[in-house]
Amino acid sequence: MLNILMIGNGQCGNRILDAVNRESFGSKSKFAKFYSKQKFKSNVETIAVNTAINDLKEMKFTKAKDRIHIPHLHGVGANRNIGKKVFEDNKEQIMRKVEERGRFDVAFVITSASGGTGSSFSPLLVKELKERYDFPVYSIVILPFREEGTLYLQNAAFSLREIRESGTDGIILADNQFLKQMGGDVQSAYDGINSMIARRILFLLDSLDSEMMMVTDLGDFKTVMSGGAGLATVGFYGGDDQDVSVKTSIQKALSPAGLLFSTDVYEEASRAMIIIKGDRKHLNIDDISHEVEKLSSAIGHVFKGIIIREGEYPQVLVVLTLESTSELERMYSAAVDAINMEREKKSRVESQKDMDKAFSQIEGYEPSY
Amino acid sequence: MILLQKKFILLISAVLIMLLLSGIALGAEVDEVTLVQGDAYQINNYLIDARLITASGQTASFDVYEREEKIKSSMISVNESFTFDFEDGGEVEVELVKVDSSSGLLDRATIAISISGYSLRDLHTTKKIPYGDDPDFVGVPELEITKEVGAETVNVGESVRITVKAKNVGDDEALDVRFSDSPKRSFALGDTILDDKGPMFIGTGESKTIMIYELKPTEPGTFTLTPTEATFYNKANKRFEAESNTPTITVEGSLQEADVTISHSAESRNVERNSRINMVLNLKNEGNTAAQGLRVDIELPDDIEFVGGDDEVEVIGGNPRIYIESFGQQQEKEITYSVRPKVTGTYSIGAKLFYKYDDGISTSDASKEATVDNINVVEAKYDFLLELPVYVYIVPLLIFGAVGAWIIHRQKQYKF
Ligand SMILES: Nc1nc2c(ncn2[C@@H]2O[C@H](COP(=O)(O)OP(=O)(O)O)[C@@H](O)[C@H]2O)c(=O)[nH]1
Ligand SMILES: [Mg+2]
Repeated sequence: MLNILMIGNGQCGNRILDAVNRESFGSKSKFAKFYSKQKFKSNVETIAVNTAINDLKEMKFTKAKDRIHIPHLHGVGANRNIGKKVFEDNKEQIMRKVEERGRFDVAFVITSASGGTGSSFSPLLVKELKERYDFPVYSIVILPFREEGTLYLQNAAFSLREIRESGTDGIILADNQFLKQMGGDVQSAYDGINSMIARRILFLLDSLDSEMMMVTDLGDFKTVMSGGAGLATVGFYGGDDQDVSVKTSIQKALSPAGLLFSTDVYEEASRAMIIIKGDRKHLNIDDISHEVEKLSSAIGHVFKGIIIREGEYPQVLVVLTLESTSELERMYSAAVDAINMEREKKSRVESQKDMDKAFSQIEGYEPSY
Repeated sequence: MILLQKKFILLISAVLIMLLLSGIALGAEVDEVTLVQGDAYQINNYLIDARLITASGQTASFDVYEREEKIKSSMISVNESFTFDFEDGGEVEVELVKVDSSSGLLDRATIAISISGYSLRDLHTTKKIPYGDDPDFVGVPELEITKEVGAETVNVGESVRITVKAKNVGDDEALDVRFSDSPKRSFALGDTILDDKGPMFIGTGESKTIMIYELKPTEPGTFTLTPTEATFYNKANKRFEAESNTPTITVEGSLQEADVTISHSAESRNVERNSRINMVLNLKNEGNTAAQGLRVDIELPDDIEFVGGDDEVEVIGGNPRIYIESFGQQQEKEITYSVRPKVTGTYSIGAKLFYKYDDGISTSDASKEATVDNINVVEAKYDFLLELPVYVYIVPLLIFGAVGAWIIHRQKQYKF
């Protein structure tokens, strides 16, 4: 049994963590925690970290002892510099909480790249974890809606780079902009996206700790994640009690509808792991082989694992590392524009400071009549 | 043989004794007296009058009188006798013993008088009445007692005067007269104006008032009074009795009565154990006067416990009881109380009513009863639960407690 650590930083990280905990009860009821038990295969420890106490209070399925409040009046806003300082000041407290939870085989850090707390805490936290422990640490990073503004775009650009440089063993990208297709108002879009992400995480955790017909395990996951540019995403299909063939399920998991991040799998993926779950009778080996071969002929080696679950329809999870991503390039160029805009804004403020000088000339004088 | 001889001897002895006794009975000697012509001999109220005595003929003739009435006339020779009927079935025999001449005046006869069928001791007069003397007869006093009522018809509560008089209508005085008047049923004795029960003397033809008193009837109806009785004697110490008439008195109207009816009912006769039964007592005075000191004792079986009731119901010595000082004419009252049976079975709940009232003459008591029978007490629907072992309760309680504790625990665990 694996010991898994999962840390959610900032509002976005907290909420996705809460969604993971909620989904693990296996029921959609908000009372599930009273009568159900979390169905983690592994020993999963969840920790939510935030400077904003309201974000922590909002959580429903994460135990109180798993929520760490780092006191800083009204959070850190979207200022990553303040965020970094707050983390440094409270680093020991956070690391002690991790230490208390014992030994782990793998850790996941969940965060948005664009906010204040999560985006600044996460790179530093990953760095600390890597320095202190030798288990792999993966980052699950949520990219902002593009229309959320220049500040978020800028933050996302810097934060993502810092996470990548923090020593993380891999970054799994989820893009709000891409997942916007979920529709509805922002809140229900968030809830929908969070559930999607949570379900994929749970599936992944489940498969890492399962007896599989064809072996994929944490080792294979590590191998896949170490490929490419250190960026990855996941695709998923199934679990809706629909009689869809395994072949179609694989295709759908690899399609934009199944992925968390916009990418052309056959063009941009460098390594892949595909895990198929379901009743034996639905899992046609020829179909599976055919689809896997189609993918591996395009990208190279594909790890595959099959989990037999009686009575279940096929479910497919694909973990893909990307060697290039046109979507990120687009985001970064947008970010550069954003940074320039912010600079301009700043120099405008600077010239306002000249006005201050003008005013200061009358300092100490009294009008005389 | 010897046995037969013995029997024969006994029989002979018996016959001899009987002959001896009958000999005595046949003639007890009363007197032997010598009479001259014109003399008489009185034996009680009979006179043996010597009429003609002839010494030469050795005969004498006698007339016998019962008082003034001649009942016999007989002439006998010496050693001959005659008899006459005496009072009370007795018979007197007169034998001529001898006839002789006295000192030249008149011949004289000696007679022996004996009596049979009559005790010598009962003879009050045996004496010679010389010629020219009057015999002194003993008469029969007779009392006529009359009991008079002041009115033959009276109303309840009214008095009636009774007057008792006695008159001697006999031919001799009544001696040692004593009256007795037995108690009167259905009447209460009121004022006594005169009460002279003797002993007294009532002369011939004399009338005396013996008693005057008042009676108060105690109930309506027609009643015959008991007679007044008297005992008395004549001069010869003979005992007589007399009885008065027995008048009838009709008592009209009615007595006052408090007629309290009681009814007793149960709201339900089929009840579950340990549930309440509401009981209702209805009292109504249907009489024409108030009941006093009315009391109802509720008689509960041992397995039925008293729960509570209206204000009138008090518990005295563990028994529920109702007490009402005065319960007027036509007054009605409904009193409810409730009980709880503890054990299954069939029960009766009794109620005993007691009260007093003034019927116009005196205070009367009344009592009545009203019992509710066949109250069926069955096991309550959930009674079987009581009989279940303890774990049946403990287990759900534990589960309940555990669930509650779990929810609280979870709430705490997730409360930030
Ligand atoms: N998918 C998803 N994105 C979120 C959620 N909440 C906030 N975000 C995104 O996260 C970014 C803001 O970061 P946030 O986590 O709120 O900031 P922090 O609390 O200061 O770390 C924005 O781009 C939001 O779109 C959420 O619940 N789900
Ligand atoms: Mg926020």
